[in-house]
Amino acid sequence: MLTLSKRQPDPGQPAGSRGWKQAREAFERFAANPAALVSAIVMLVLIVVAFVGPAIAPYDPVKIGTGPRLHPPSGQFLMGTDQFGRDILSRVLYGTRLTLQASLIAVVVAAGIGIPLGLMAGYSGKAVDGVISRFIDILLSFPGILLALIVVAILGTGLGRVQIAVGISLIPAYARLVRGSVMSAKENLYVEAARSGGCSTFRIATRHILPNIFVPLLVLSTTAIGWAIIIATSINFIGLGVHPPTPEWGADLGAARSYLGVAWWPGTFPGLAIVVSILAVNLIGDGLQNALDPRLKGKGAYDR
Amino acid sequence: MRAVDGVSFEIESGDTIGVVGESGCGKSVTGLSMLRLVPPPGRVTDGRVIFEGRDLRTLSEDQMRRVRGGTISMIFQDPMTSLNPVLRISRQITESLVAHAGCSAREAKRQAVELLKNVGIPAAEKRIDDYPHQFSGGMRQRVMIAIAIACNPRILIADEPTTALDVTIQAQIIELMRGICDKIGTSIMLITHNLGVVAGMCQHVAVMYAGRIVESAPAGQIFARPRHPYTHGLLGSTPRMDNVKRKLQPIRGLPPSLLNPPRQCAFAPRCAYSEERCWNDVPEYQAVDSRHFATCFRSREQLW
Amino acid sequence: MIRYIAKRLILSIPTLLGVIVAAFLVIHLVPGDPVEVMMFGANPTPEQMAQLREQLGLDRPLHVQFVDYLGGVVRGDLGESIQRHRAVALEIGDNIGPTLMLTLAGMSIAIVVGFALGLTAALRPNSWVDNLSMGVANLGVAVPAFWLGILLILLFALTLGWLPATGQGGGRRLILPAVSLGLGYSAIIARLVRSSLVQVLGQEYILTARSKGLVERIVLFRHALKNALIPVITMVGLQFGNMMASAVVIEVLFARVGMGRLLVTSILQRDYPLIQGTILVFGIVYILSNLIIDLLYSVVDPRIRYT
Repeated sequence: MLTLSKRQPDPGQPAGSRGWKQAREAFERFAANPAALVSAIVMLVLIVVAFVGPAIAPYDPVKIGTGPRLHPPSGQFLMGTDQFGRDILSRVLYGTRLTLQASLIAVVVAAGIGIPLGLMAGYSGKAVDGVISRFIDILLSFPGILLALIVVAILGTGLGRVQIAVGISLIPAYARLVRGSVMSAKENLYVEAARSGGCSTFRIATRHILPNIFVPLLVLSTTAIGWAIIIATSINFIGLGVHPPTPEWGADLGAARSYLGVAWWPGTFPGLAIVVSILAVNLIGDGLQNALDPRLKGKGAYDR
Repeated sequence: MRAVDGVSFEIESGDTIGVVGESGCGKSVTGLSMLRLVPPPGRVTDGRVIFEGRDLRTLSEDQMRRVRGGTISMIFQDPMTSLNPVLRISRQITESLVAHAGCSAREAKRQAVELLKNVGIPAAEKRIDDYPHQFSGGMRQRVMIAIAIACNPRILIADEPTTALDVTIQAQIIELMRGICDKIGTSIMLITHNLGVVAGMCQHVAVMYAGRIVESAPAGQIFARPRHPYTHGLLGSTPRMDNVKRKLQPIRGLPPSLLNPPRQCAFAPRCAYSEERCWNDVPEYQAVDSRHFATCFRSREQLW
Repeated sequence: MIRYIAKRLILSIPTLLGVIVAAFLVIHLVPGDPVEVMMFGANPTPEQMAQLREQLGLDRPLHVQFVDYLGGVVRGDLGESIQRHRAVALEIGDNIGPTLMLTLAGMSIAIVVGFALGLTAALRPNSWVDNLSMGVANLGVAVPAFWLGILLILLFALTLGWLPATGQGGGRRLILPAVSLGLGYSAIIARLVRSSLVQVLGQEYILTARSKGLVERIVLFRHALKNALIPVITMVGLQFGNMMASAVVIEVLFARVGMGRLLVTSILQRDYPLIQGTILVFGIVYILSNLIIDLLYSVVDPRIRYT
């Protein structure tokens, strides 16, 4: 026998009430994706290393002369030593914390400024939107690394400045995403506001908009971490970032340039760490997107 | 999943045959499979398509390509999406002529202009170089017809040619198709869910349900003396000009899923005349007349 | 179509103005006194500082400075480099050529490789060819260009000795830098070409084309590709600016003359007129490349042309 029960998906409903079940379904979907799962594990390892790296590093990363200069990878120095005789493995381990921290701070800065900007632009009237959009467009005229370099030019070099610089270069991405979502949500919003007598439109905004943009923002953030890592390591590579002897993947690669003719390992292992981190974070982002894609959420109109 | 299971019909030269059924009954797939255009992962598992003495299924891909567009051509439902937006109309018509009739470019273009005139497009010489978006919906379908008949095909398969058009335009397009095909002697296989369109145009009608032809008869008999409960129901639920006060009788229920069909008459769950045996066996073709048969155990009884 | 171009040109003027404002503001956003920052370490006397301040026009009101700056930009006068004592415009003129050449070379490689990869993947969706190609593409996005450059140097220059690792100009010396630059972007292009082509191949008009009995080659190249190109062109245009910025890093790696070296040294030396000029030029290049893309777009998609 065929049953006919129609269930309408209700976009105006606040997300919380159907939240947990869908969260669990999404988690299962994510876990079923091998690439995403492996990447999540890798990411976990990286985070752990970021915390305990200094504790498990075999040697002091900045002490000159820990071992012979430019010694190839061996039992004693798994990744070899650099031009000052420092253990590269220890430097890479210390560098993990630095890179992850830097990219996280950058993303927080970008989100912290970009999301409110986007909210303002999308929700306010045409004048405010116009100004903010223009501002974002101008920021977008300068590609990520260039924008970061401009900030370094203004504020100076150094780790903290680099983090801010990278963060600023990522603001446009967040602002654009939020603004777009707000503009499309506004349609439903005014209807809703009219219905509830116009009271507390702000609360309606937060109840409706923020849950809807949570997923895209999450996915954007994973991609943004990847961008942040590339931009930050690039700036350090060309010498405009951290000051020596700070162990940083990009900076170490930059220092390795002069010795490539005699040593391949200083130029390889830090780079490998960069690739692994970015790959992991990208695949997690892909997995999240597949798992949380709204097109897969929700049942059809008929239960069979 | 079996989209089509048990379809057999003949098209006489010069005739128009209508294939009628609800969405999802497999009529479009039938049309596509005749030209071996079923999109992967679907494929044709069994059967023969005999055209002028040859089984089309045995042809090589090269030979089949010569048949497509040249001997058997097809037009589709939505003229908005069936024409390539970045190519001029002239190109879209002449490429058939060049491919099949071996025309020179200039000769092909001349014939293309003639074709546009024949399908009723004003100012054909100017409009031949236009792009699809510069035409209205009805005009685009006329262009589609021009493309399809360019090489004087023996058979034209028309898959819901009027469904996407305004009601006022529908009649014009049907008239156009009939007129042209009479003139050049093309048989038409008209696939539609609209019984009204079929009534005016077809000599023979095949009714499909759940991937099978459930009734096949000359047009007059289908409308006057239907023998399958589904056909009867279809007629009962169709508005008629000659009896506007009659109450419409919908067929209750939904078409079945085509995944793993059970061994029974597919229409039994919705049939007002079903018996015990209808639930245990699949009815075979029962001949009602020399050219009229239905797949119903009770087709020879006078049920209504 | 002329109207479309003119409209695009006019619309880009506010952005251009914004870029000029941004470049202008750089020196004013420096925390503290820019003159102090610039002369840091040289232990300047107050008179020297005042002299520099006057030379840079920093003693005048802000809006006056901006008008001067704007006027200068229009005339092609971008100020004078403090460290090199040469006109900024000349310094940039010397260096922009090599960078543009490198960027164009990288872009060409990115397009050719990306297209080939994306095309092969799209023609056999969900096959091992597709999965491998897209896997490689995913990897390519994660590899920083400068590390790729290092690996290429290690392999092709130092181990195999086929190609030079450093050097200026074109020819063999351009190959490794251009490949390092282009390969990462080829991954992005490959992914887009694949998804765009797969989407186009699923369209109704492709079914129409096949039902006309056209050979698959024509269906692909005449019907599908042109439609699939549209989003790819947009992407390539957007990436041009990115690529030029990445070229900065590649130039440093391969010790090439160009905007990269100019920018790095000017930032290290706090040579603000030069920094500002460089930023301005980058912004202008970005706006120009957008205009060119708009032009290309209208050529490929007739719906834009005839609206």
